[in-house]
Amino acid sequence: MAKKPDGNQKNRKLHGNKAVSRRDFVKTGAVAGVGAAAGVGTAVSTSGTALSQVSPATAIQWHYEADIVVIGAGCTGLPAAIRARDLGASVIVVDQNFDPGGKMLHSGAQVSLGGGDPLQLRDIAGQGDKEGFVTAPRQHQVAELTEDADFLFADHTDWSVMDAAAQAPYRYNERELHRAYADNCFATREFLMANYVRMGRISGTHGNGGLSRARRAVCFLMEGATTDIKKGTVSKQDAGEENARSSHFAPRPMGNGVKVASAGARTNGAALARPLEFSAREKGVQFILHRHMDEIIREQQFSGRVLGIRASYSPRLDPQTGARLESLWQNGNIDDRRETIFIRARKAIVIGAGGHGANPQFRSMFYPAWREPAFVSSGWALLGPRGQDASGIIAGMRVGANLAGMQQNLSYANTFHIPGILATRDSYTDMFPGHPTFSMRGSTGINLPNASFQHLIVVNQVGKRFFNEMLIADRKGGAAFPAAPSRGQPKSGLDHVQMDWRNASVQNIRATYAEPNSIHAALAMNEGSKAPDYFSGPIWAIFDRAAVERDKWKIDPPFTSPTNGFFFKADTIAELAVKIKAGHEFQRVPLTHLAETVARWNSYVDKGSDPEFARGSDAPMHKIDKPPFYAATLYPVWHDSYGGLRINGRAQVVDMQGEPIPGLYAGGESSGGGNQHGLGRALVHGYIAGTNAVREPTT
Amino acid sequence: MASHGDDTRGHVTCAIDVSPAAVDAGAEMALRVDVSCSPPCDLRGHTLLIKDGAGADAGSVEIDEFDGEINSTNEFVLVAPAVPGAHTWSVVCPAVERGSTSYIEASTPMSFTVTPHATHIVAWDIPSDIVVGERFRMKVGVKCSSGCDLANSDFGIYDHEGNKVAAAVLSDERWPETAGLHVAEVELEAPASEGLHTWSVKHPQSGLELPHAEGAVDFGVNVVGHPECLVTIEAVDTVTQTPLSGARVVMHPYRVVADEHGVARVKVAKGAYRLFVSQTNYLTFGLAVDVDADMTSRAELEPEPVLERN
Repeated sequence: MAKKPDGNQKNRKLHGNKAVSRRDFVKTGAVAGVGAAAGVGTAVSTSGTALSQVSPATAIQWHYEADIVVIGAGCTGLPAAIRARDLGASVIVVDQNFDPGGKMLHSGAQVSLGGGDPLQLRDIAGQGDKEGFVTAPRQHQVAELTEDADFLFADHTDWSVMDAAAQAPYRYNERELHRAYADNCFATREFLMANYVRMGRISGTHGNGGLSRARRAVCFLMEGATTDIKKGTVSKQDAGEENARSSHFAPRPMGNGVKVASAGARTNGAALARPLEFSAREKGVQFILHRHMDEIIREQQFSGRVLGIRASYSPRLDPQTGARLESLWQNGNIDDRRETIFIRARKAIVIGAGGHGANPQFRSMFYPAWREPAFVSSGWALLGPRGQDASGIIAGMRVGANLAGMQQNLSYANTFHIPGILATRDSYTDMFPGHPTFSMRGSTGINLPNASFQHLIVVNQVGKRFFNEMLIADRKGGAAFPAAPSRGQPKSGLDHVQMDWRNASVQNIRATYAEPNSIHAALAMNEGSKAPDYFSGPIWAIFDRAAVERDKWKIDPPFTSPTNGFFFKADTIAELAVKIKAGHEFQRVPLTHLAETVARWNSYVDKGSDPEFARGSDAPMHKIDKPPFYAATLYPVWHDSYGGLRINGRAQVVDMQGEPIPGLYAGGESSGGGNQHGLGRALVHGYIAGTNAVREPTT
Repeated sequence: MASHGDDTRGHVTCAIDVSPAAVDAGAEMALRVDVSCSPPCDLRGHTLLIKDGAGADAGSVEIDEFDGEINSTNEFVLVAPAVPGAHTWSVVCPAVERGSTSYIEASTPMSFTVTPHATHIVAWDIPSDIVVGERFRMKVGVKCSSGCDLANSDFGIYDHEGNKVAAAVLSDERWPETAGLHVAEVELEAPASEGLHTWSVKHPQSGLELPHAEGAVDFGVNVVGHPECLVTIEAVDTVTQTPLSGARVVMHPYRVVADEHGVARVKVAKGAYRLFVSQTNYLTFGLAVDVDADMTSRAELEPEPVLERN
């Protein structure tokens, strides 16, 4: 269980000692600029002076400068950077991680846009792509694909829509922002395709992307002999092998895209993030990786233009070897290892630093139970301990930004939930050996469909059951096309009517409410919760050898790890409780009730009914009695971030007076007011931000 | 604060952390001692003595850390007494001189509780339905909390009225995949009355060298009447209509598994049941059935949708 720290202070200092000399540094920066277009991020004078020693801000000695400084190389930052380069600006992208891509890299690459975007039109026309990769048949009728930007805008601001959790996901969306979103979907889809992103057939719409039309396309690359982004191919090695192997190129094995494109298509976030990264590097965007933005510098704290950023060295280190992780591709990287640097933005700063899902203090503003530090954000291993830390939002707040959509975290079931992946802290997605960050999580996890929960019980930190296990990992999808009663609407598919009061009627909510609420039971205080934070503690799936054999679970490495503290095996339940207490970092109290709970459960199975949580009516019950016995974590995860910096239709960050902060832009999960799951929101924001940032005056 | 050159008398105070506070007889317990001095001084290299309740030497440990204020030992291990009950030992810091300061000997009591070894019992492979008066088999495993070898030790099985219905001996084999669970297979006769009965396995205090508490565990014996009706279930994939070999059929308390053709046959008593058919990666099929004669049912299972992850 002992691991070397990832990016801790000691190691940072070590690298600081080994950092390049000032002369080397200037040389490195200058070399990095060679070959790029004139004006691309050039190294300037260095001082290493801390901001606190500098007054006024205009006296800062900048280490680098560029027209546009982008914070975060994810699905807001990369399109913003490329778009700004396309329009002639020099661009430096700063990211705390060792490799670009952000959360997008481990995503499913589902991009819901719409409003009559080019892929909707392509499918309506019955056409494929110009490369001949998309030969799969169209998945929707023409009527399900036909719309315009006005229709999309109406969908995204529809007050009447309720989901199956009786939440109104569109009602509170920022109207100007979503008008701009609708108006830029067409251009963003074209922009993506012009930057090597291949997308398949439109197939439904995902999470809060609108109820009335199909808008989602999945990104793919074609399996080939080599990985060639220009040709749209990925090698078998880089694509990884499903349920077996990841790669540096693809942190999660790429899936099969035959349904949306053709045989040989491989899909997931790597098919979106890598092409965008490739294009950015090809166009001369420079990257400073291992570099965490700590502060946005404005002329005065609450007035004037933003001038640049202060950023600290945040090396991602291999937990086993201590070696620094390096990006897959190196061209365009500026390798600067000093503790602190200042980067000047001649025109604008774009914040695409992601959300707040991994910041317990920040997320507890929305839900105090989420102050529990055990639970992390999705993509935890990939992004590292400083990913999704709300730093972009906090930096914006410090220079006067307003916030928006602060309640919208509570409006989507996917924001925080209990995924069905056991035995890993990084429980939203799988990852296999082959990616450099696998050792941080140590295990892929045991990925169980909901039906498999019949074979186990789930207990809290004191060893007590707290919910019907068949519902624990159940979650309702967002209110998105196609409308259906199972998603909270009275009418299905094209019969859905925008802005119809009946959508929000008490009658409809009574008929369609289906929120299981298991996450809230999981986060509830229990007798092991102590003041002042009353942490709910870890959650454990308890099962036996019979379950493993019956349902054919894969419990050996890499699916589990014998050393990472998220999976235990014991001869008896009593011994299992002792091992959990001794071996799991966040198990603060003994599982006093575990043996009694298992015995009681077995008695319920004998009786055929569960008087505590009503198991038995929805699925068979199975005893937990055949040794050995197992415990695997079942960790809640904070996936989406809603609530962040208020931005307007130009993606400008807006202050408390409603005025844009000159030169400051943001998007994606660093921004608020757009309760839309997935990549579409961030990609469009990035496109808009890049477009408008270059129009700022040069200072 | 003593000034240099003065011959000063100092004092030491010990704080002792014992883990676990309740320890198995004869088992190892971990200790760590923090030593504070007044005036503060570096005692690294100084040896602390551990005395048992009778004042006899039970061990010693050297101080090896000093943070400028507190001296500490590393965690070290002692063997607990074999006699259960409350014990008070002591940690003695012998007199020592550092510079001009003489620290007088200090003795600090440490208390802990010794318990008999717990005996944990597991009972499994008990048929979910047992016909009145018929014989059935089950497995029993026993493990000591300190890992003592329980091979060849006796245990008994007691019925719902407390009568001993079987006596058996643990084998010297360990159950597969376990570290030290000794097992035995036992044959028993079901009671003459239908219903769910609670029986128990008891492993008495053993004659082992170290004291062991009696272990016991309850288990259910679900006694049913003679089944009269044959229920045949055909399990198929609802999309492909292919048979689901290995599908699990449950009509509580009856349980069977489908054969390679996706067919399961189970004899049940007449009555009302909730029929479940489940298979990995499929949504569970559920149906209320009233059985009053032989019957056949087809269960079409839907593949469980894969959750989107984006």
